[in-house]
Amino acid sequence: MLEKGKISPRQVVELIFITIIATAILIVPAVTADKAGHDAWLAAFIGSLFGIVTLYLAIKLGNKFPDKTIYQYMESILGKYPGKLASLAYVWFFLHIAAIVVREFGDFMTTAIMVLTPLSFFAISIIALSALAVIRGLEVIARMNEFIIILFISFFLLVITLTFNNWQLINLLPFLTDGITPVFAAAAVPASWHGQIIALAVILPFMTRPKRAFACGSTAVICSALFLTLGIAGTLAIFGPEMTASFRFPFNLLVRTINLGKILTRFEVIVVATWVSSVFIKTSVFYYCAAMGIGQIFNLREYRPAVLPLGIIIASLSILLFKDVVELVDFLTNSWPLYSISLFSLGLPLLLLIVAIVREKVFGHSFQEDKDGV
Amino acid sequence: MFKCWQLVLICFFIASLSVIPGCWDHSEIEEMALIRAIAVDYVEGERSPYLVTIHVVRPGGIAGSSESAGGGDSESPDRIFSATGATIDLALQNITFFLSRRIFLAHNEFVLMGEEAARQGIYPAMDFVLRDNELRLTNFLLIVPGAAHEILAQREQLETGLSEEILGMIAQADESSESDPIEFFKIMRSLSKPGQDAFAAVINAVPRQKPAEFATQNNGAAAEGNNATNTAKILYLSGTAAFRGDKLAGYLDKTETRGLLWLNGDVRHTTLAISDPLKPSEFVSVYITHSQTRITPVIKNDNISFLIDVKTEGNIYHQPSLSDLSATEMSEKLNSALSAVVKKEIEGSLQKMQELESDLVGFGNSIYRKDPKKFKKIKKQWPEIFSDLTFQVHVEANIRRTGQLAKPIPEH
Repeated sequence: MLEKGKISPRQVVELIFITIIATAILIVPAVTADKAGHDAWLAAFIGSLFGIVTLYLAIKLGNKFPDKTIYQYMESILGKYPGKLASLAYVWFFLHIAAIVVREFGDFMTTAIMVLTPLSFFAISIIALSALAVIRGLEVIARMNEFIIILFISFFLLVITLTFNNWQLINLLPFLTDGITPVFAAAAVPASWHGQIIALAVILPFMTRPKRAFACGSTAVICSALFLTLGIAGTLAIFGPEMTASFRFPFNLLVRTINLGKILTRFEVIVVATWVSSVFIKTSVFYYCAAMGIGQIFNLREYRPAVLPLGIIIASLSILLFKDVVELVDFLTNSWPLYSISLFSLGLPLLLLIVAIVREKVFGHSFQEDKDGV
Repeated sequence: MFKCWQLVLICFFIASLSVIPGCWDHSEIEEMALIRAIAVDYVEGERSPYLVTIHVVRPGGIAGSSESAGGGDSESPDRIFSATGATIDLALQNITFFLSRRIFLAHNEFVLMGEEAARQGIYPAMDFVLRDNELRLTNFLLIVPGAAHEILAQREQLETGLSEEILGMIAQADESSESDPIEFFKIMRSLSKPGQDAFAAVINAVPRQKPAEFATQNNGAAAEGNNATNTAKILYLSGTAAFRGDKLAGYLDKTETRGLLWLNGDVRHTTLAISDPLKPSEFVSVYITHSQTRITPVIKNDNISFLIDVKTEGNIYHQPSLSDLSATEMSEKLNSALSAVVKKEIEGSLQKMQELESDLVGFGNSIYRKDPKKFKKIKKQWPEIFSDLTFQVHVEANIRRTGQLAKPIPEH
């Protein structure tokens, strides 16, 4: 085993939750409001529930191959070299997510807080931090997250509570003006975010009680769906859909409207600090998944030698992938959902499951006695 | 405990702390010019039409004034700087030539816009405030009938600094509900909603009258600009600027403003005079403690009308006459007198909005919420439709308490 640590079901819930919500809350409100208008909150909720589908596939596969990560059982299912190729695709996917996360984080910081600081500075600093966490292993990331999730949830609820006096719930009306079609169109983006739960396929073998994995994963998905819906409903209620759609990072501006009695004001720095820490967790999780993938594909004794090179790849990708923030948001809105869902969140896991079932049922192959590829 | 390379790394991180805090964006407090207010004027026909005036708190000015507080006429802690530019930010850049410090906008509290600038449109100011990462959405927008920079030239009366003075006036506006200063994001929210127009509070500098001068006039209120000899002015926050789209359409006076606040359900407190049911020449004043408004659109084919239900509660605040109003039927009469007054204010306000073709309450938006397809058809002609609408105003007023006195104390 490349990973000696074990994480508890509760830690899995927290890890998945932060992994999804950390950047979703930054980007998704504007995108869904742009496409679904008043019904953006509904789109976010429906889209989020897609996470359950990906989760179901990941758990089904995981149950067939206990103690194996997605990289290992792909070799069992697809055969050695096709399996390795598919594994490399997943490594690319996780690297891609990590790079996008780092870029979102950097663009957010340079837009909202530190306008003059170069993007590379944010990329390098968060990658350096994540690299340390990844070297220490999954258990360290999960434990760190136990602390960060308290900050995240309490500040999120604080922000919602403190802005509540400015909410105009009539901004959520009229309900379903143009029918359900725009809602589903907008739901693709939150769906792609919740499809990232496929990272669980890597983490699953390191869970102490794998039987509870589905309960854990669905708790995390539903929690993050509720938080995202609440956040979007808040931005809609305060700004209305037209304004929300025009904002770059609506939730940040929502925080900036807090002004209670001139005392409870200027919360954004605390909230940004919380985001930085949750983005750190999110980056670490995908960074870890990618490093674990390299370790298992190439049958390394340790994944640690892969960490630094991967970090450099993530940092440079985060800067090179997109020319500017417009391109980033355009990619996340129009290309990313199709690309990530069709291939990695739904397509490949479904294919794997079908092939596994066909091989078992039709060809009578038993994976339990299968020892190759480990 | 630590390996060698770890120690080196730790030392490196600690050492870097002294160099990189704040990174490229570091700004020291003693290098900032803290801007508390921005006044935007528009000079017609110029190449750089925006005349921007900033109100800077002079560092040390606040501390200095408190030391010399006993000395009477202390120097103001404020300084103002002006420059013109093609846009607001270019004008701000031109101001930097006069400044020894960096312009720091995070502590800006309100933006004043002159009448001409407001007629050109408030969207440029909206964009500037929402896009900038230092400016806050909770800035107030105040419209000045006249030149905005004249407001910043005034002296504070009670507070240290003019910005504090105006902020105090904004906080105080709830007491009379004859002015409704609102923040940028709320104005932008009304501006972006279909079937709704935005409004903003009006601030003005009026000639300051000595008490004796009030006596010579019939009008008790601080009359606007009829005393040419007196140059001292005082700030006056009252009334509302109504917009059509993002352009200034006209003004609502203070009673019409209160009518608008009744319609929006935003009347917090206010004192209203109603005539004494027993002696119509006398007044009873009522302090409003609570109000609630419900607007229902009634759509019958092409005929649109609105039902406006206002519920309000108040206490008797003052009764100069000696008539005994403690009987139950008297309180009925007082209630109906109060609701008549409120109804009249609301109708006056509606009439004014219809004249200006400016739907400040969002009647169009309530149709949009109820029947979005119908509203899409009439959206283009909405201002004209709005100006011909009929409203049914129904006010239910209840006077709940009579203060410390149950009835007047009879004289003998």
